[in-house]
This record gives sequence, structure tokens and C-alpha cells, in this order.
Amino acid sequence: MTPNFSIFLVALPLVFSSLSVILRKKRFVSLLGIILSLICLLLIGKNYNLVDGNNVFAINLGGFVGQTGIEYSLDIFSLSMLGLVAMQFFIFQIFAFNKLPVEYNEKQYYKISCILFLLLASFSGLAFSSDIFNIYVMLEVSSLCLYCLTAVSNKNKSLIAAFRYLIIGTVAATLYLFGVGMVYLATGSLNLYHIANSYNNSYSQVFHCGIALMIIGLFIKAAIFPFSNWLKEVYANTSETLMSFIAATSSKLILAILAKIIFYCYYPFSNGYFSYVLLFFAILTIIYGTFFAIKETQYTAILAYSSIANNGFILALIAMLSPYGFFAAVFYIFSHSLAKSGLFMVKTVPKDKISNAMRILFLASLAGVPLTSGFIAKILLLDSLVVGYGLEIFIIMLIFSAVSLIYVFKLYQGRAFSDGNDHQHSTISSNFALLCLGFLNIVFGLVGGVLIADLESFIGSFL
Amino acid sequence: MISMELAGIIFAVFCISLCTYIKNNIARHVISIALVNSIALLCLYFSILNEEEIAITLLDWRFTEYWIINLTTNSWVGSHFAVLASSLWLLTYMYSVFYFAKNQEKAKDFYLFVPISILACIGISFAGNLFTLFIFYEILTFSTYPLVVMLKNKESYNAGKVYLMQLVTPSLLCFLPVVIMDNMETPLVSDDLKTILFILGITKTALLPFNQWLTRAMVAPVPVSALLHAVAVVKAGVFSIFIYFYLVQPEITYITSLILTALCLSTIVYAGIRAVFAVNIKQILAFSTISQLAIAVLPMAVIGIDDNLASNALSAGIGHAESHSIGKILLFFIAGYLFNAFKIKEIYDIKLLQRSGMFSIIGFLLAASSIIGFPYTIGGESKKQIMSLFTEFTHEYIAVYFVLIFSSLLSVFYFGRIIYYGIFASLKNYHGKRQRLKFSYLYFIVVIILIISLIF
Repeated sequence: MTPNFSIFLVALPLVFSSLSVILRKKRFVSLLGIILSLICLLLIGKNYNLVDGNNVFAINLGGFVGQTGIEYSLDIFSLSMLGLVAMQFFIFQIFAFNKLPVEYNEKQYYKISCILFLLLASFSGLAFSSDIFNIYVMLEVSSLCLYCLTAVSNKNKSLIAAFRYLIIGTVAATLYLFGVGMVYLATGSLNLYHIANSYNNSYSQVFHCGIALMIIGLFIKAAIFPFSNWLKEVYANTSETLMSFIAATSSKLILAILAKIIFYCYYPFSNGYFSYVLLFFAILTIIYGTFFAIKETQYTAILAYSSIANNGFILALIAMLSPYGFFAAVFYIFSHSLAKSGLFMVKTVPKDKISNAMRILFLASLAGVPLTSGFIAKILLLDSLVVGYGLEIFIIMLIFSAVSLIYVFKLYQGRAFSDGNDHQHSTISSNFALLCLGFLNIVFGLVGGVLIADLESFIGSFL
Repeated sequence: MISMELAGIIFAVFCISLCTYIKNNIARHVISIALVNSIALLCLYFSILNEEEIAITLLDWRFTEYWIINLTTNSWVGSHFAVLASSLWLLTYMYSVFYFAKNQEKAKDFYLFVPISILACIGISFAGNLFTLFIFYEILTFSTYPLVVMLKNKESYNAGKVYLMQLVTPSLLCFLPVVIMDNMETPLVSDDLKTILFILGITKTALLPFNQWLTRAMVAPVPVSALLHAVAVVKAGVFSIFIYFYLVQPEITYITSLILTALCLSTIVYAGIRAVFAVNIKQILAFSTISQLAIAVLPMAVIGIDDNLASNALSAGIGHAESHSIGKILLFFIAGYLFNAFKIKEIYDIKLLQRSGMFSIIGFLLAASSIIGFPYTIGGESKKQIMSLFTEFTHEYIAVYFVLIFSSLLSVFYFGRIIYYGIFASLKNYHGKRQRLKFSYLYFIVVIILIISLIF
């Protein structure tokens, strides 16, 4: 099997989304989702053996090579991101197998499913596209799907939230597009791997400006501090079942793209201050997210702010611009994504033994209790920070990761004392998904490092 | 070979946890007691064997040298704790069978989580590096939280909140940095700062800034309090500090030593005075625990100054921790019996005590005399060791003598109050009708064993 097959990771979801419109029956559509996610996982697993070490496989769409055509590239980083998306989608599909059709009208369910498959296609594209304009296209497709999913949720303010999300998302995408244009003007290339090589010193200001615009656009999408207001509204007004997939993947993928742009094309031209600029925004984000998460009382809103704070942690790791920091960032993305999707899932199931145990496990992972993947992520975070920045930043991060315990405890107590949603019933599939996620939360801490161990040397080759 | 036996301990602990689901009460208790007994014997075997080293490298994928779970059996400091925890667990188990006899259903949490917390204790005692110590320390915190909130009312949830806050937050803010910085090739901070951070981070010892969790957690049932405050949690804190000094061997300066001494002494005085003014019996015992723990940590203050003293100081500290464990667990058992049989909660209620409670009061008297430090008891012997440790530094540490004697006087007072009400006032003021309690062999055996072990 050649790596070229992995283009099906984008193509198949597109095909399946039209198939789901044709089939329409609830059962068929649900099965399609599970089949699709299984195929994706299979493709990723097949390709995993190929990319060990620093191998990069370029897939040129339509045979256009290099700078002119759209290129997808398969390396250990993009593959791990693809793995995250496919894994989360698989678990989400199992979880939502009976739940989502009940939540929406059963006859209208195929529409939701169609959008979800489109979302998967765009997320997969985002994860391994190496063409910055193609990344823009995928960003727009995914954003459109997210607006739709927010708008159709059965919450009071869903439509308003979706509209605001639409506006802020469009602004972000436009800024990103301006940036792409400027980078293209300065270098004549859209390919992430080629931009650094075709850098022309006479256009340096345009280039820097373009990269800055791209980064700001991505900051808005990833809810980094000055632009993080929208996230709470979206999280609170979207159906929790859908959020268990969206929250776990969308902003994490944006951060992955940010890392790609910084490491692949911008690193050779950045000066010493660049790292500190990113770190400044990261710390502000952490402060903002943690503070409001403590102040907030609503379950989903606390989760939203905790997402913001954790995005700040990931940005701080990326800002370190070192292989170890990058490795820690990817590990942190994984562990946080696993915990966050679980926390959204347990909100929608009634309180029974399994859901209670899993809720405690996910909260423990979010807080960084030993024996969960969150603990190892936190250890990696602190260890790399003390290596990268020295004592001062380490102390700040330590304080904020300890303060985050307050809102974790609030989440625990809020669920413990409110009777909440007892009208919903748990099913075998939802329990299975929860157990899967809990299992992954523990096991990823032990084996995850081995799976993505090559990342360090891979990124080291760029620096 | 030894790893097989260690695996055996883990397996046995999980078996005991699973035994909770056996319906037949007698079968469950017999199986569990047998398993607990075997664990205690295994720990004893480890402590005698004392030579081989096992390293279980769970996390060696990334942090090759430092970040591994490393268990070693050749630390004599740790094996003391393993033997102490597992053998007292046996007695607590027997006692809990008697205590929870009427409502076995409510005690499910107890039988489920106590094995896990004892496993964490054994992990702490065999920890080969600070990372392992940290992991088991945190597991212990989180596995004892369900025990603290066992009664599931609002008061216990509030206590649980304080418990988690005061144990987890300092351990993250102070303990974790020490673990991370201990592994640095070029040390960022000095040994002094590290030691002070470490001792502040181990809030399980209930040194001064953070000790409300211990008194608040007294809402739990008596076997839980006994296990938590005599064996598992606080002793895990004290032994963590011992293990830190044994493993890292920090070289501390004179100033740091004085700071540590002052911290311990102020805790001793504070807790002693609070105990005098408390009326709830469990609260009195809790404050007494805080004061005695500070005495056990006290020898660590001089350990870094003089290397010759290191092993003496460690053995003095361990001796005091052990003697306090045995005395305090007996006090808790008796207090629990009084509460269970006569609904005695505060010292003034002891007037209601009947003749059948006299056996308990005598046991209480003996245990209290050990904690006060009378001669020919283990408590007195361990206090003597600590005092003799400070003879080398008479001029500098003269306050230590005064404070130790003062704390003994205070404990004479607060224990004396309970015993006075128990023996004299109860006989004088009793008017109601006498009811004989059902005699419990388990309680009798447990108390007798503990009384015998009190004698030096």
C-alpha cells in the first residue's frame, strides 16, 4: 500500500457525506459513520509504519508537482494529528450511535450526519495538507460545518451564538487569507516546505507581515487571549454530544497548523523576540481562561474556559521553539483532547456507576492526577518549561496548573449535587464509548510517548 | 524473584478490594483477614531480607534516567513503614468488623478503598526515587478522599473539600518542583530551599500552615480516622520526609535547620494548646496527633548539619512515629468503642460511661501514658531518644527541651481530663439504668494486642 492511498482520508468522508444524503435512513447513516471512521483508522495504521523517523511522503494532487499544485504530505506529525481526529471521530460515532438521532429529529438526522462527514473531511485535510491556501479552504469548510452544527443545536441562544461565531470566524479566515496572499507575494510559493527555501530578502517585510496576519487569524480560531470571547458562547450553546467531538479536535488542529507554520516556514527568519511574543499571549490566555473558569458556574462554560487556558499551555510549549517543547505540546494536545471529549460526553448521560467513574477519571486527567495521561502531560509541560525558559516561567505555569484544580473541583461538585439530565438514558454504545475513552486516557499516558517519539527528531530537522 | 512477591502484594490488595462484593459477611471477613495477614508477613519478609533492588520501569519511554517508577527494598527507613502500615491495617480490619457489624452495607467504601490506600503506603515505603514517592503520595490522597466523605452528608463533603485543597495544592506547588528540580543536571536552587519546599509540600505531616484538613476530616467514622490519622495518611507524610532525607541526603545550613526547628516547635505548642481547649474527644486526639507528628519530624532539623547524626536522627524519628502510631490507634479504637456503645462524643458525655466501659478506660490510660511519654512505654523510650539527640547542641537548641517537656505537660492535662471524667465522674454522677453491652472478642483481642505492644 502506498502512501498515496491516504488521500482517501479526505476523499472518503466527502463521498460518504453525499451517500448519507442518498441513503437517509437513520440506521444506514449511523453505520456509515462507524465504517468510515474504521476505514480512516485502518489507513492511518497502515501508514504509521511508513513514516517512522524523518520520512515525509508528498502526495501531489492531480500530478502537479511542488509549488503550483496542492500537496498533501504525510509525516509523523500530520499522521499523529490525523490519528487524533480519526480516533475521536470513531469514539464519537459509537457514542452518538443511538444518542444523536434521539436528540434531533430521526428523519432529519442524515443532515447532521452529512455535515459531520464534511467536518471530518476538512479536519483530515487540515491535518495533513501542506499547502497554505488549501489549509485556508479546509479551514473555511470546517468553519462552515461548525456554524451549521452550532445553529441546529437545541439550545436557547444557538442561532445567536452561531451568527457571532460566523462573524468572528470570517474575520479570522479573512486575516489568514490576507496573510497567505502576502506570503505568496513575497516568496512565490504556497507550499509549507518550500516557503523557507524560496524566501527573498527584498520582500522580507511583506513576508513577516503575511506570517503575522496568518498567525493572528489562527489565534482567533484557537481562541488565544484577546480573541477568546467567542469560544464560551459556542461551547455553551452547542449540543454537548456534538461538542464532545468538536471541542476535542477543532482548536487543537488549529494549534497544530500554527505549529506547522511556525516550525516549517517561519523559524529560520524569526528573531529572539518571537518566542517571547508568543509566550506573552500564551500566559495572558492562561490567566484569562483560568480566572474565568473559576468565576463561571455553568458546566459547559467552565469547560470552555478550561479549553482556553489549556490552549494557552499548548501555545506556551509551541512558543519554546524547541524539539522537546514541541513533543510536549503534541502530547498535551492528545491528553487534553481525550479528557475534554470525555467530559462533554458524561454531561449527556445519566448518573450511573460507569459514567460516575469515568467522570472522575476524566476530571483527574484534566487536573493531572498521577496514572492518567494528563499527569504525564503536565510533567512534560513543567519539565520542558524549566529546561526552556528557566525558573520564572516555570513558577507561573506551576501556579496556574495548581489553580486549575479549583475549577476541576467545581466541575466535580457541580455534577455531584445537581440532578441534571436524568431523563436521558444511557445505552450500550454510549457506555462502550465512555469506557474506550477512559481506557485511552490511562493507556495513552503509558504508550503515547512511544507512538509519537519520532516527533522530536522530526521537528529537530527543521530547526 | 522479589518482583514476584511485590506482584503478590498488589494482587492480594486487589483481591481484598474485590472481596467487598462477596455477599456472605463471614466468608468475606475471613478471606480478607487472611489476605491482609499475608501482606503484613510479606512486608515483614522484605524488611528482613533488605538487600535486593527491583526497578519497575513503567515510564522509561521518555524520561530515561529519572522519570521511572522505581521500587527498592533495601531502604530500612521504608521497610519500617511498610511493616507498620500493613500490620496496623490488620488490627484496623479486625476492629472495623466489630465497628461496622450492624451496617455492613454502609461500610462498602471502607473495604473498597482502604486496600488501595495501604497499597499506596507500601509504594511510598519502597519508593526508590522522588518521582515514585510523588506518584504514590498523590494516589494516597485521592484514594483516601472517598473515605473522608464516607458518610456522604454536607459536613463531610465540606471536610473533603478542605482535605483535597490542603493536601493537593501544596503538593503540586512545592513537592512537584522539588521532584522536577532534583533531576536537573545543574541544580537551579540550593539544597536548603529544596528541603524547605519539600517539607512545606508534604502537608500530610500537618505542620503549621496547613493542618485544618486533619481536624476537619474527623467527621469520618472511627476506623477511618484511626487508619488515616494513626497509620496511613499522616505517617505517609512523616515517612515521606524521612525517605527524602534518606534518599537525597541534602546538606542543609544552620539557618535552615533553625527554621525547621522553629516550624516544628511552633506546631507542637500550637496543637497542644488547641487540644487543651477542645471538647470533642476526636478533636483532642487530632490535635494531639498534630503535636506528636511535629515531634517526630523534629530530629530531621539536625540531620543535615552533622552527618554522623544522620542514622541516629532517622531512627529516633522513625521510633517516635511508630510508637505514636500504636498509641494513637489504640486511643482511636477506644474512642470509637465509647461512641458506638454509649454515644459519647464530647468529654462531658463520659459521665454517662458505665462500669462495662472501665476496661476501655484502662486501655485509654495506658495508651495515653505512652503518648505522654512515661517510662517503660515505647512512647517514653522514643522521646528519650529524641531528647538525647539534641544533647550535642545544648546551647543552640535549648528551646527544644522546654517545648518537649511543655508538650508532655499539656498532654498530661488533656488526656488527664478525659480519664478523670471517665473514672471518677462517671461513677459519681451515674443515675440511669445499667445496660450490659454485648462483649466483643474482636475488640478485646485488638485492644489487648495493642496494650502488649505498648510496653517497652
